[in-house]
Amino acid sequence: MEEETVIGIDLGTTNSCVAVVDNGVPKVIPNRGGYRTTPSVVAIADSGRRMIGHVAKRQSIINAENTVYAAKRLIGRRWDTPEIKEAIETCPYHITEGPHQDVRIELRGKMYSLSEISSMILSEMKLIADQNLGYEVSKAVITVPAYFNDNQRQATKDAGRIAGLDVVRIINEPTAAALAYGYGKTINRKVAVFDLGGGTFDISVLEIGNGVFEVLATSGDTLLGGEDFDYRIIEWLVFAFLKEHEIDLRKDRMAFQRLKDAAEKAKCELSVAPQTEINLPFIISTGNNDALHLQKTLTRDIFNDLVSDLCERCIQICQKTLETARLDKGDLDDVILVGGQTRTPRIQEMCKEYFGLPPSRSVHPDEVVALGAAIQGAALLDERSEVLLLDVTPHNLGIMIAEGYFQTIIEKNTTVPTDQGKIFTTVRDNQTTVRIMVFQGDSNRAEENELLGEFLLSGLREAPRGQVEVEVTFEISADGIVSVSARDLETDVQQSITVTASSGLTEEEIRQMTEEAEEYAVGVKTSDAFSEAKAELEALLREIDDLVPQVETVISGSEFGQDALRKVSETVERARSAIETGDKAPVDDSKAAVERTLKMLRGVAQKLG
Amino acid sequence: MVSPTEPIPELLAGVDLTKANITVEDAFVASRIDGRSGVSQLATLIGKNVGETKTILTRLARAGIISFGNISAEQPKPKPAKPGAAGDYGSFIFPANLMMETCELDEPNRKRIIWTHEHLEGWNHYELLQVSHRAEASEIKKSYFMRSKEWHPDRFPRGNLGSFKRMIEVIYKQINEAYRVLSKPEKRKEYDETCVFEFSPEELDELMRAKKDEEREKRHKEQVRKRRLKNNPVRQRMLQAKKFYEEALDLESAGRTMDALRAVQMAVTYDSNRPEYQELATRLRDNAGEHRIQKYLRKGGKYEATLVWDDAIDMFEEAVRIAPNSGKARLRLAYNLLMGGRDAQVALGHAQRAVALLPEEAEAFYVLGRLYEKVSMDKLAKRAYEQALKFRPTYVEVKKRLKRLKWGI
Repeated sequence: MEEETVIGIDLGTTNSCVAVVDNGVPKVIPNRGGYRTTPSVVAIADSGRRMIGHVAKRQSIINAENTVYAAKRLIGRRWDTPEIKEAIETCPYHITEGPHQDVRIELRGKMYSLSEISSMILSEMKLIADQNLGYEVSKAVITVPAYFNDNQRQATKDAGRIAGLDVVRIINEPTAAALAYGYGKTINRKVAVFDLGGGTFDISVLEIGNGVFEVLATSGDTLLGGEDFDYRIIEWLVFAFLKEHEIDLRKDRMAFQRLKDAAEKAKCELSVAPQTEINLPFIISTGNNDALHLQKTLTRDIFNDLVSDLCERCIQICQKTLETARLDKGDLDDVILVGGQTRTPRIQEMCKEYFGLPPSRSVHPDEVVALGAAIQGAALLDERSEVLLLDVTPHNLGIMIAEGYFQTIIEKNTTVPTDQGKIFTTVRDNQTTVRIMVFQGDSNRAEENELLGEFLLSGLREAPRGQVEVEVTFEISADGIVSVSARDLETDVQQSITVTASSGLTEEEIRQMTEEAEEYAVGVKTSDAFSEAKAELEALLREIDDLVPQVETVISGSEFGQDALRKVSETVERARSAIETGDKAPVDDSKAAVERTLKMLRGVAQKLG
Repeated sequence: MVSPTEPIPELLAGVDLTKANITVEDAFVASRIDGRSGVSQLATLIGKNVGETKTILTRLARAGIISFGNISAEQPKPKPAKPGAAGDYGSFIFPANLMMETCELDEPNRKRIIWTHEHLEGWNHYELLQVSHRAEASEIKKSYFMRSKEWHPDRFPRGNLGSFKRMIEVIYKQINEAYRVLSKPEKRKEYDETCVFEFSPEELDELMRAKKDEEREKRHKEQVRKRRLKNNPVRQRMLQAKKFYEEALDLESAGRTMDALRAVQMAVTYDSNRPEYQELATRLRDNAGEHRIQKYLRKGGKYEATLVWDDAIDMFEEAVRIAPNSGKARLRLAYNLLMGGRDAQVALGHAQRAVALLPEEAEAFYVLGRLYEKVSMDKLAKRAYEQALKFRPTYVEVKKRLKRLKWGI
């Protein structure tokens, strides 16, 4: 039977789920054990046999070092990021550095990249679908947290390819949830999707109208999820134990794994019961044939206290997102809770409190994402489908400009596909090459953002700085593929890249490059706004220049006066170099300092009469 | 009057102004063209200078709306039809290579893509989204959703689309861009300011009316301002004051000091803020004083000559009261006080004022000297006598006093 089917896979931090649209009805495909979700756990047995899902999870306590869970938290990240540092501390498996500053996991002496680990889970999901449908599926839509950056998305796509799947689209989890929520209904609504999963938190605001799903804004935190809630319980247990027995249970991998399981179980129980017993006999051996036991009672109140700051973080992100979407809480028609962690009563209460709406109960928090992915998959196959998803890019995209600043070219929350360009200029006299470094992120310092790729545009004509104009154009296709091109406006020399994978550069290297790259840096084209800012700053500087000689003789007499004069000249110098950059941002940055200086000088001059 | 060299603009037959794609201002000018008025007349009519008016007329001529001199209309570009008019492409010729290309699209789809792609640049954001430029935000959103369903790349087959893939992306990106601008009020406003829209007849009427109203309003305001200025009481008083001031100047030069003083006092009463009025008043008051004390000085002089000091003092005191700034009155009063043996201190005061008012009068210094002597301030007396001699070296009386002072005789 040669039927073309696209499956939807929710590749979760703790659990994964696969779904398909069958005769217009989206449904979850259960695994061989009859479970509708499969743990995202991979393990390698003594024999070298791969274990995936429930099998892997069941043996995790006895084989903690060779069992990988929460791989999603590491995928697409660079080796030297703080997230990885923290994971090394807390994970029982061995995390090592790969050849390109990427992250590898060592299992029974073999190195696996995170895409490989994830591909094992994906191939298991594919297998579940194949067996259930009775034929081999080759196409899939995979979901990722909305706040994943391009590197993380690419790594996930790679995982799909390794698993033998044609990944027709990567879509955002909250968007998928909204698709499943609105599918088959003729509704016109604005909804918020609050997605608190195992490892990530996402919030998306969408408008649904006549089958069109328009994402208005999306935001999140890739390191805030159920795992963090579990870890709060683990810490609570560990510190209590440490106080009593002076033994740190985290040092023992097996004990830690048991703690982890117990914490997750306790958390789930607290969703229905006001308190729960945590009972771990023989948690650790003291050496002389004696063992210690752990027994504690966790109440909902204590738990709520332990995680109150995590909840607070979620709400703050919600607030920001609504602002970006230009919506009030009152504009929303519904709030959809997605992800297992939203079963926690505190989260539900908080959502109700914040949005002023009872959370929608029409979707299943564990399955809705996979269903949405399947719906999108089906819609992509059938051009007459009622469903159309208008998604946005979750981060600012731009390039590094002189002094290491980040210049946004495509703003976050722009609907894709889109292309946008800006004109830049050379920053050195006779500069014949510019280096275009493509970044993604929200900081105005390039180094704090994610590097996606870089290329050189050479062969520019020799001219004084600022005279050669280079147009940089960013393009995001409907598939989410980013391509960047740079063009010399005069000679039409052109260079471009399609961003495909992480180049694995470290922050340190980028910083170094920032310094070295001065030679090749590009500056933002002097715009009216810049000229204005420059003129303002220069006027201030002129006044300072006039005042300094008047004031100098008087205040240079004292030590603090000399200090002040030194600071004045430093400020002036910094401001001058900010003007030199030809970019508005540094000019604006230095203005406040200059104003303060001027105020000080004016004050002194006035006293002098 | 129209000068013979001036070309007369004329509306072309069959042009419907309300359908023309021109700015409000140009349309306004066009509406004033009657086939008789020349450029300068039109210029006065619309309140612009001749140069500006010519520019506008030239623009109208190029747009094929009027005839103006020998400026002929540019070949009018056929306005592209509205997008999405499915199946009706008029005489549009579809490139054969594209229609023959192997790809998964059927003929109607190919036609619609080629046609839309070809016309994309001719449409503004509103035309592209197929909404009126006065559409509400919700209408724009609804239309954007509809256009998205027509043009989003996901709405086309996933397989081989050949050259069409690029064209679809270009079209949809443009739709996205249009919506990105029009969905944000501040961006939309900015765009509206740079975009020329066609107006419906009602809109044009309304705009014309608004423009006329505005002008009427302006004229009215100007009139009110003028009237107010005319009737302003403060201004009235100022004008009155000026009249009195000028009269005073005339009277002064005619030597009628007292009448001049009265006139300038009226001026000060009406407008007390003008320094020149005040100055004139002071000057006249002093002059008038000198004038009025003449008879007292004369009478006092007679008494003084007959050594009747007390009567003389009465006369001169009266004179000083009337004209406190008269040096002569002060001097005479001081002299008579001295001679009549009155309080030397009082006399000294008058003498000092007299010296100040008549700084070159030898007699004043002599009287001052005498009075200093009387209050036993010999040094000052000596200096006063010396001053007196400076102005009148043959002053015998002074020489005598000086000698007496020197030798203590």
